[in-house]
Amino acid sequence: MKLDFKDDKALIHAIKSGNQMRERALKEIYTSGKFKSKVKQIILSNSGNLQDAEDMIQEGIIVLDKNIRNDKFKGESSLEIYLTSICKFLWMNQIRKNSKVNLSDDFNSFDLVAMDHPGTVLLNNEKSQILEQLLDALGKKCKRVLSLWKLSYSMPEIAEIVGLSSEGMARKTKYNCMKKLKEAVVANPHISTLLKN
Amino acid sequence: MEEENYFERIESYLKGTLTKEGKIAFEQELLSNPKLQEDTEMHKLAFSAIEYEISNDLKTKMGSWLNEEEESIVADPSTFKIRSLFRPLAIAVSLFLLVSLGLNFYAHKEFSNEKIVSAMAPPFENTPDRTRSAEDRILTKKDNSQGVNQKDTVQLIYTEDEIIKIFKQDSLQQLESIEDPIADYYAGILLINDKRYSEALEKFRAVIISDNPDYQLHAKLEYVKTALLNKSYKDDQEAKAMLIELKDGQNNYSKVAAELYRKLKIPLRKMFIS
Repeated sequence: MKLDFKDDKALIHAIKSGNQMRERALKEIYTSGKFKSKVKQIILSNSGNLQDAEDMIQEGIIVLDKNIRNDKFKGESSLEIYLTSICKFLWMNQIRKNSKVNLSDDFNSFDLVAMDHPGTVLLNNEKSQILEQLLDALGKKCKRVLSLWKLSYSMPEIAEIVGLSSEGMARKTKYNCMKKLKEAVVANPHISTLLKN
Repeated sequence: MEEENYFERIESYLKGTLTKEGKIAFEQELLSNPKLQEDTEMHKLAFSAIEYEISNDLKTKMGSWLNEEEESIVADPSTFKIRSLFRPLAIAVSLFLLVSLGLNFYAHKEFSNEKIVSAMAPPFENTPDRTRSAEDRILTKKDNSQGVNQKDTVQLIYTEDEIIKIFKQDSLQQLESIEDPIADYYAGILLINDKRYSEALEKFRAVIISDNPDYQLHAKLEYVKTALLNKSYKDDQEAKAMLIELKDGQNNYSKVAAELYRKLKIPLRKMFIS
């Protein structure tokens, strides 16, 4: 596979930049055997199958992306080690939750402190369902505009992607969508409580 | 407009795009302004909801990237338009490939085990030192619960050469008695020769989850080939993932795997059209 990014630094920079470069960098991480093989080895050695490994890699990349964009990854380890640590952490949670198996020694000695705060993105079902409802109520266009804006796309880029007539229209749409979202959160105290938790 | 600027300032703070001075000023104001505190908190919640949407979107994209891998070997949409023209040809080619696969299998069967070893054993650069002295080759386990060393299990450790020697003698039973991924690997090869494909797959699976990186790779290739012989490849996501991993990885088998992957294009297309 042809690699577009020469090293971790280039990948991190691309993810931080948001926009299309982020997507290319994440695709490279996701499709590269280098990042996947270690995770697969760990999951397979701890009672998982390849489908479990695939799921954990996806969840791990979601955390990796979020932590890099929000400056929670301090670059103290390589991306490969960081992603592996996140996936280990997620898999450990999963198997403990399911009480499926005894963890290998390698797992039991796993030290969370060594990680740059992987955080957890695994939301419980209730929270997921409420967020889905909230976002669905916003509509597709609003969801897209707000996501792109949060990912640091410029207003002209957002206008082009979403099919708005101008940068001004993109700005106005984003403002209205954000307002709508906040109103929805205010209108439902249950949502506020869930999000705070 | 004033309200818009007010909210933009909160958003810039949360996104970390304020200047250093702007950030200090914002945080000072935050301490004494309850309305700003409340609005900032509300924006934080809105940001959490947007992050959730971003995660969902990324997950969908990863699903499509995964599908791209498989789709790249399956017919493009134009294939369907001309499928009626090429259906007989596709059937003929598929038959030809099946026959080739069968012939290849029988040719493989004709190999002596010696030949299989020389043809398939890779240059293991990282093989751990297995040439220990006879005295050292008794593995003892510590029983820590009793605070004493106790020879509760005795297991002979075989060198790689010894395992290959047993393999050449066709001694499946002996190989199966050895707790070692290398023995599992060669037992898998013997099981293929006996057409006991499901058992062979289990042996290769044991090697894949072992701690021997060289044989893991070799076992993955054998697993894929065995799944093909066992006709379980089509439904075996693990085998497909292994082939793609071998093809894309930097290993001794990427070339072989790429060739196998390429050869699989036509049967897979046939399956897809059917």
